[in-house]
Amino acid sequence: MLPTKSPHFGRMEFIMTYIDIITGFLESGKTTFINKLMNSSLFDQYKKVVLIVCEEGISEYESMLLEKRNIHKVVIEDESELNDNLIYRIKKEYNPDYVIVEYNGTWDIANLIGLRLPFGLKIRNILSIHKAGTFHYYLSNMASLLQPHILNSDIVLVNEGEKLTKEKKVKLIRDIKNINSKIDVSFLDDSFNSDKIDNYFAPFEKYYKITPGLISIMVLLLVLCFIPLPNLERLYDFTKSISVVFLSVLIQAIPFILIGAFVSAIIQVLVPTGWILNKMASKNTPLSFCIAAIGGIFVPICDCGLVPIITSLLKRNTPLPQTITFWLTSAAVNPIVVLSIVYAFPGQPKLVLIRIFAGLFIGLFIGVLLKIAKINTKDVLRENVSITSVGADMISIRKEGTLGKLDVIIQVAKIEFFRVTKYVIIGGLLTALLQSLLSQTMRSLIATNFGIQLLIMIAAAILMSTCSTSNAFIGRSFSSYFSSMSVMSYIVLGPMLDFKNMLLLSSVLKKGFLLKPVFMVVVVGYFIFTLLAKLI
Amino acid sequence: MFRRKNGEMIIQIIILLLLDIYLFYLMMSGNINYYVHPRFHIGIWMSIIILIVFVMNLMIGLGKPRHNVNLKPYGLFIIPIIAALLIVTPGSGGREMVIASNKQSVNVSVENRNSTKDLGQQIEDTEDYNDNVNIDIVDFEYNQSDSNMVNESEIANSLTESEYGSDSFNLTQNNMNQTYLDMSDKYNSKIVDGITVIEEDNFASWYYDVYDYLDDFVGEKYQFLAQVYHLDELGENYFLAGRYIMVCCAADLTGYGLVCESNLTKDLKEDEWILVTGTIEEYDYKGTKVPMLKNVTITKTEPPKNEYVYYNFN
Repeated sequence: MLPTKSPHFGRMEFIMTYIDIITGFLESGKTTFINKLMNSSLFDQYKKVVLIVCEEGISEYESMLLEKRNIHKVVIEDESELNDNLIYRIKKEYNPDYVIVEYNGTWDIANLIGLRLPFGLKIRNILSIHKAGTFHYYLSNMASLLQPHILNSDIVLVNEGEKLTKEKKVKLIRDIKNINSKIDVSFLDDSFNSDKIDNYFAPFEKYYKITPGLISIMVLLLVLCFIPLPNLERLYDFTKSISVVFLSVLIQAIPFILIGAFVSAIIQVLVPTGWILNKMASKNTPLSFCIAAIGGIFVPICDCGLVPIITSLLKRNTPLPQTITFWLTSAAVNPIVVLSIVYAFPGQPKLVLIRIFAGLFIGLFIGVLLKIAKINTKDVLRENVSITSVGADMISIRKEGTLGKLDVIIQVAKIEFFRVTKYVIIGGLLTALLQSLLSQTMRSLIATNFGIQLLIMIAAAILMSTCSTSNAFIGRSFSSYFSSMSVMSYIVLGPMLDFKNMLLLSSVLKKGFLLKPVFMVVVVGYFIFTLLAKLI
Repeated sequence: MFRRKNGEMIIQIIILLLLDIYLFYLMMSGNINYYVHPRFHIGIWMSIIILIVFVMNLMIGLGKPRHNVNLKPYGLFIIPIIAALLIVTPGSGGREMVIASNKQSVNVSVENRNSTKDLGQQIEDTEDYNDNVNIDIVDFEYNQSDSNMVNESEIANSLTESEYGSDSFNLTQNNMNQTYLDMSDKYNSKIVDGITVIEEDNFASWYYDVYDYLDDFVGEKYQFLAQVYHLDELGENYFLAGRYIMVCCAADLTGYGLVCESNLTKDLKEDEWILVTGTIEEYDYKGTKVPMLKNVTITKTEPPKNEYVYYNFN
């Protein structure tokens, strides 16, 4: 009855009638595809098929073929006809063993997915077909229309792919994967009956796969079985101590992530494009850097809350150098952080001044360097950041006016929260691991040479920073083994270089670019602290 | 058949609710203090409310159905869930304690300590520290039989009596912003019979100041609640009496101890809670001057409500 290569699922065949949906804009090649499908051997198994057509294109269905395959065509001309009753009526009238829908690309796909289906019917696949030539045009100009269709698709089929160069093909696949990484992309050419598409119409194949995740879990359990009991206890203690550190990093980050998420949501929803720094940048360059640096100093938010703000600024096209200056200064110097150093090193106001000076200098210097290098913000942003992060479908505008705006802000903040928390989980876990593994090793590294000390401390800044506030106190615990200026480099550079923050930033900035400011911070930091050590 | 729902939103609601319940549980049980500094409490209450707002907002949008939902990224959220379930009783047991600001101090990590579990159990049925430093719950007392010091135990007795029986101690409102010529004056807010009592809220800053301004503190008599830590290299008659100090979160939690001289060292168990009284003296630890408590009186006591002390910016 159903196309299945597996006899084991035999019993299910008689119960389930699958519905496959083919969607796409007018003239994208839906009808041609369905005609090919009906001609292929895939349709041999069906006795009675219903074809629902929501759009009459230029290509027509061959009536001979419809008759031969016993296919009943149901035409729907208005979106309102698509309701629960329709499917019940079709089931009652035809009792088909397979339903295929040619859906209108301009209608809301949710109306179809959300239908209450009679027992025994199930939506199996959504395929969306697009022309290679116009895909990007539609994606950037009709995102709100196109994106939901792609988001919900199992596979995107691209017509006329032979017109594209190889790089353009890669870009197209990446853009689709950005919307939903689970989507398959296939280029349709003459070799229509490719295995990839076949699989979608005989989907039981999927369930035989043994996934890599499954294998790794099995191996992990197997290894645990052979560990002797005393070691197992030690392993538990180790895991427990890591878990405590990990959870504590996560818990103390949550309020800051939320603040950051809301500030970022407000910037994205309410503030017009590039308003904040763009204005300054176009008029007066040196002044805009000063504003960015001073703004950074007075923003009393910890580093993990800053990342969503930075990302939303970049998405709003604020000039990159100023944003990086803002980020570096606010990470290294802010009211809370200054207070922490006052208390961690009492009676040494010199160190407070050094921290403020070094933080400001590094932030400004690297901002100016980036300005000189004339790096365009658009070139360093990850592809389609603005489309993927806050897609039109993910945000549904449900109300007008103030209440509606508040609703959108909450929705954007929630998306930001999930996005950032993912990175904080990875970063927190690595921090916890490194913290427990390295803290002993770091203290045993006693170097007499200042240059080597400085390098060790910069490495510690990257690997062992937890939070810009506690950095001063962790730094203090190093101060018995390292000279005060190398410890200062750890304290100042820690929030700037912390790989947890880098991981967060890599969600908007290209990794290749991100390495540049990191490298610059290391070099500039190295020189400025060597200089300070000589002077003081 | 049911109408199709949005699988992604359902997963988000589950994650947000679990997180919210976990935070709420930590706040209500007080276990939050093992993870973060109390100054985060307001932020966490705020987060609990915002997370609920997120959930309510998601409930409205639940009707918009989705197909081919990618739930893989949410798999990461299993990690904190496992981590949270793994920890039954968080505690300081098994951690290291160090001597602060010492040029060659060596960290000794002690692995084979089993006291974590019973510490955790005790915490649940103990009340506030201030109610505990009472004579009837003190198990037994050690008397330091040092020839220089005669009636240490009597002093300890009279201390507890005077503290709770009369108002004889001198309590002045301490202005933290003023500068001190003698740093030890900063902690003179509570003196009982010549012994300065260091409370939990200023233990951390007192500890740092003792190391930074040792000269000001020599000869002063102090009493504080501490945990025992044996540092083998110190010798038979010495141990560390200290607390675990938190600045921001558990990631920076460090145990800091003061060297104590006592011939009863071997009777003390690791991580045991004691009320220690003694005079600050200089001690030469591998060529550096560090503070040491001499003429020590030890009173065993119950663990306080909060095992850790917190560094306060005030």
